[in-house]
Amino acid sequence: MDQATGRHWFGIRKSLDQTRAAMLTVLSFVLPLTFWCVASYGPWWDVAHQVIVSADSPNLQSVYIVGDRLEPGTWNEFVAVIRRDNEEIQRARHTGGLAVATERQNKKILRQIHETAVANGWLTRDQETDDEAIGNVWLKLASGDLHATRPPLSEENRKIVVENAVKLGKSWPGWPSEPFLKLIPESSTEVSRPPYLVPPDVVARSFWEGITAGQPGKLEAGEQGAERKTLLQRYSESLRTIVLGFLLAMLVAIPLGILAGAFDFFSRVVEPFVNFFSYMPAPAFGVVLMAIFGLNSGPKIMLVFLGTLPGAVLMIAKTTRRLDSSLLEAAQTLGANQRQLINHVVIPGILPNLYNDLRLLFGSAWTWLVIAELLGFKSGLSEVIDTHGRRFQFDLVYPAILLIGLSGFCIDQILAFLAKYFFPWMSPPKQGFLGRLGARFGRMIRAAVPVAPAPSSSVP
Amino acid sequence: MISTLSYQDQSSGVKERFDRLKQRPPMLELRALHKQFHSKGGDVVALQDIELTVHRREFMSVLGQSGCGKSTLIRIIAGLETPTGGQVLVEGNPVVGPGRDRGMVFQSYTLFPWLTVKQNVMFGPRMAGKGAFANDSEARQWLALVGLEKFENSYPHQLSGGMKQRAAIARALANEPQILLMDEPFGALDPQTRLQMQFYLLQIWRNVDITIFFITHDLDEAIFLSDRILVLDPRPGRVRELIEVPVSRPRAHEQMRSPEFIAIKKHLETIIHPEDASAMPQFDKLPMARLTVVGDEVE
Repeated sequence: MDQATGRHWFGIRKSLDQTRAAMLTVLSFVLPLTFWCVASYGPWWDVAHQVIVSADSPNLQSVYIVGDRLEPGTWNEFVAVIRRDNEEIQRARHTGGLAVATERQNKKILRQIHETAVANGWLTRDQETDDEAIGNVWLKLASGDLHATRPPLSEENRKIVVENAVKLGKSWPGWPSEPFLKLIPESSTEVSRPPYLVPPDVVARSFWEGITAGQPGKLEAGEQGAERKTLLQRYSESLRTIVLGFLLAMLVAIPLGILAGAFDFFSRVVEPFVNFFSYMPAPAFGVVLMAIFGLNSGPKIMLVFLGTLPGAVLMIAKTTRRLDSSLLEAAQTLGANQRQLINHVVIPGILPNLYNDLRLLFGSAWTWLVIAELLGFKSGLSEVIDTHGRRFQFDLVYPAILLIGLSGFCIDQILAFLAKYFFPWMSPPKQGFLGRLGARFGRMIRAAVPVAPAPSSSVP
Repeated sequence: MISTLSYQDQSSGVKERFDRLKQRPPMLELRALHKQFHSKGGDVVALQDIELTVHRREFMSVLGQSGCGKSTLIRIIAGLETPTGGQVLVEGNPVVGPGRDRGMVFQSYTLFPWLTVKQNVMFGPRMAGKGAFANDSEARQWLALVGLEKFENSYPHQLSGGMKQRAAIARALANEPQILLMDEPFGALDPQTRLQMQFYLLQIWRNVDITIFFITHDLDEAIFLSDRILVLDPRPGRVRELIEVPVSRPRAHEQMRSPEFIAIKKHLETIIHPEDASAMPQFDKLPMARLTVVGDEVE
């Protein structure tokens, strides 16, 4: 009884009721996402300190530069050593023992601010040894003309800046012989996950930045060679490749498939070889395609074409053969000739199934895209995946992969939804996930309209 | 060769009726029709030496248990299959393939699902290159005949089984065939709809100049509808008898309880046997199983 009403969870070949089905649909996305979150944010990854402000000291055995990741122990020791250095200098000042510093040593201390200055856009990267400019930054920081925002300096360091600036200001533009205080090292705490495990929030941010960026991203600015493009530009490039390749394949496959499905003659002539050909992986022809079509978009489009074609021909032929033969017989008894059978029975009869075939085939075309785009001059989203993947910059790789997945999924869902309008004569309209949502939305609106008949009339 | 059975003393009125019928020009003639299928187990003879003449505006039914070649016979007449030997003549012309002179209604509703009911009805004339305008009013006329005017813009999946079959009849008639071939057209309908459809069909047959060749395995249906019934024997399919139905026309379902109707039905029951009589259990010797004595024994 439970199984008949849908109030059950596990019934063999029994549908669940709507609420449960919808719940599970949501769950099917939430579950993997949860798994990803647990894996990323779980307590099993050590915390590491990524250096933002560095310092050096003769009492340290190694030199740490901005961007280094340190274990908590090493980090604490690093900070402690620098603090001790500062304390020594201050003790020397108090006791009156005039500690003397060389100009070189002092300049080195001031250069500590360089990375922060670059991050805040006050200096350029190659001004690392432009001590006059750096000195000016210190003075302005102390006077409050400049204010570090990314990242803000710690309270402790701001005091040091002021203190040093006072000393610097006395002798400026010359250099004081009294030693400066060192900036205390600062870090952001990062979780040291393996590089391929990028947490969802980072991917989401990177994805959002990627699709909203009006200009090529900063991270790619240092790259040589290929043109710089935003994620969306790359996406449209990919879309162009796949759509052109797919359309070209369909231009050949649809007539060929229908002929093979309708006439035994074409079936025997075409299908055995196409079947054989489908076993040869299309990427294996990549080099041949490059030899024929050059290195630009030619071989890429042709690879998508070649990858999609054999499967499409076989599939469409099969779909055509699946058409109820009694419809053909009925048409024959109504006086239809061969050509009329094809035009008025076979083609309209297979259209909905053909449409679904095309949806499936377009989905599989995305598979060929990634390999295709690496042929010749790399392009599109696959270039991002390949280049950044090699550099272990997975936070840039995942958005590209995500974009492929999302657009494939969305296009398919939209097509499934539209089928209802293309084929109003299908008995249960074949709906996708989106279609069900749309239907539910439509019902909600229809239900809501009589309750609130004219909400707009009250608004002038 | 063909034993025309007068199983009952025919009154002079009935005899006269059939004499008149046989004087009409022949519409469909089967001459020494023979059909053989090749299969793994050897050749199977589906039809053997079928001789038959169907006259103009006659309603002829074919009865027989399944496997007797009824469907093969009608498909050969329709031109969907070729006989191994013999000939099918329609108004004296040999049949070489499907044609507009023989409309067909199948058991599976073969309406084109992508066309509306009206478009389905217009299919034949459209294939013949008739203009859509003349077509349109004509289609309405045919739909009116089967009572589907209100559904002209519906798609087949929106119709019930009986409505689909009526639409299929209208579609076949719109092509203006000489003969309407019907292959168990009401086999998939529920009993009530079925009776209704039989009645409908007789009305249509009265109003349209058409000869009907009807296949069924339902004895009542055959008797109720037909002028004459062709009974086929199975394996190989041969003509067993050609029965003239004396039940008077116009017919109504009440006649199913009339003596001549029952007499014909009894006769048919004696000559048409269930398919696997040899494999039937012996009902008087069934073993007792799971019987508990609680006073609810059935008699």
